[in-house]
Amino acid sequence: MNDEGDIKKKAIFFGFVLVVFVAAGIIFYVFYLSPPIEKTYVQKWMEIEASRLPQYGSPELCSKCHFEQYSLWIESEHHSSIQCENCHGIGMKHIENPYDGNYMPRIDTSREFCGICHESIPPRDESSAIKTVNLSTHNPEYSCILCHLPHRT
Amino acid sequence: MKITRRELLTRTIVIVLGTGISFKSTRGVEEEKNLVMCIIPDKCIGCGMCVKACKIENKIPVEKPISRTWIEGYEIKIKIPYSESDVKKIVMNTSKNPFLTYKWGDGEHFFVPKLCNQCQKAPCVRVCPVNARFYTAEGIVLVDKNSCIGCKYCVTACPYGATYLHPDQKVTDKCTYCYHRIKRGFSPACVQACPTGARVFGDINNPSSEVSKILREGSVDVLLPEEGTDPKTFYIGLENKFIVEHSIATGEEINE
Ligand code: HEC
Ligand code: HEC
Ligand code: HEC
Ligand code: HEC
Repeated sequence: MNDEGDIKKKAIFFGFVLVVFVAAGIIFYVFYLSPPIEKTYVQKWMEIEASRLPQYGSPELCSKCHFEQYSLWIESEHHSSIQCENCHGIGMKHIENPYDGNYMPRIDTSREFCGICHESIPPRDESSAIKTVNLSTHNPEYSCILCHLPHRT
Repeated sequence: MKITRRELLTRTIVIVLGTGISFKSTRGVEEEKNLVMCIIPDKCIGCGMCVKACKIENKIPVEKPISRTWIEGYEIKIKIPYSESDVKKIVMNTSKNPFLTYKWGDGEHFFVPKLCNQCQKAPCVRVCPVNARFYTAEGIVLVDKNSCIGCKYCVTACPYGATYLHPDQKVTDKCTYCYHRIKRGFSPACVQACPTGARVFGDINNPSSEVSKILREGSVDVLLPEEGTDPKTFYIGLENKFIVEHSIATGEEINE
């Protein structure tokens, strides 16, 4: 009777240990070894979408190579609120291939170019966020950058 | 209290499995963000930098008159009753800026930048027959272009006219709030390009972000609230333009 009880107890004890090990093994397999569950098409698309490379950089990225212009620009009174790429075109490709002529940022010194933002048209009235000039009367014979240095304005 | 062996065994197994599973499920849970855009039409000067930035960033043919974001210029002569006011609308959705050459008459003039409103109850998601449109965790509506069949149900369903058929890819396309940029911590291209800060982007779950402040202070509108789409693109200070709100929102073709 006593012996039998001992064996029973031992059997239960070892059975218990075995179950714990098996459970631990299964957990280990399921969470660390098994291949991941196939992604749903939604997750796949989110990865594709997120993997696209940005094209529009930021002044901080330009500053690494054009520190002179950057330091003028960052201290300028007005244009420090606009981006290098507003005037020079979108530049991530240029940042990656700085010597590639195909991706060279444009330099536009024409009066019409400044006029994109500064031309006085009726919706840009007194209360608007920008100071405007009438291109046909504001010193028409000169280029704007003669008087308003673009990086220091 | 007495516990039988069977109970002890089952409880141990439950505890071991339970800790394993809860450990697994706590991994990889990101902080919840709710990204919104806030547009301040009063600051828009109609320069079109956002349109160009968006089209190049997202490789939309620049000279085709379709765009993920566009600017509408209004010229309104108010008449009583209001519904008979003269409303002229000029749309900029290519790199050409029509506002500079348009012969503006008298009346009230202003610009309204437009883009996908990222509705939380989006009609385009609801009507899509192949479930190609879905919401991300941030609440952004994306189009799975591998699944899209280009049937254009969403184009007709969208009350804002913000979705269209991509001419090269032959699937529908729309603003993603520059999902690829915000995942890298940049702001959307149009927000970055705006010289006057007419577009503000951020997380409203973070009470100290700029959008949260603006939304707390200003009077906030959404376009076409009666459609019940629950948009995440908010407009500040449209109230003084309320008379034309309906035509502003729907953009009933008064095109050029
Ligand atoms: C990796 C360094 C690097 C970065 C970053 C960089 N550039 Fe440049 N950039 C150059 C080099 C080098 C040249 C000169 C190439 C030459 O003259 O052949 C240049 C030339 C230019 C020019 C003059 C083009 C001309 O026709 O003379 C402009 C404008 C310019 N960069 C703007 C930018 C802007 C805007 C950014 C940020 C978006 C930027 N660059 C970022 C390296 C860089
Ligand atoms: C308001 C528009 C504007 C902004 C903003 C602007 N630039 Fe320029 N940039 C110009 C113009 C115009 C020129 C041509 C100047 C000239 O020919 O004298 C120029 C010239 C340059 C050149 C050619 C070298 C030179 O100095 O002539 C570089 C490089 C350049 N910019 C880099 C930058 C960088 C970097 C930024 C941002 C930190 C920036 N620019 C912001 C308008 C701008
Ligand atoms: C992307 C639009 C944009 C372009 C392009 C641009 N500017 Fe500006 N400019 C601004 C903004 C916005 C301000 C006002 C910034 C502020 O004060 O916060 C400004 C301010 C100025 C001011 C100061 C006005 C004042 O308040 O006294 C001058 C001068 C100026 N710009 C000249 C130029 C010239 C010259 C060019 C062409 C090289 C140019 N801008 C191109 C957006 C632009
Ligand atoms: C001959 C020099 C000269 C040229 C060229 C010039 N400006 Fe000016 N501009 C000035 C002076 C001086 C002022 C300040 C006096 C004033 O406010 O009228 C000024 C003022 C401005 C202002 C601020 C207006 C305001 O209401 O405060 C802007 C914006 C501006 N210019 C833009 C331009 C643009 C854009 C061009 C090119 C189309 C240009 N300027 C060409 C000399 C010039």
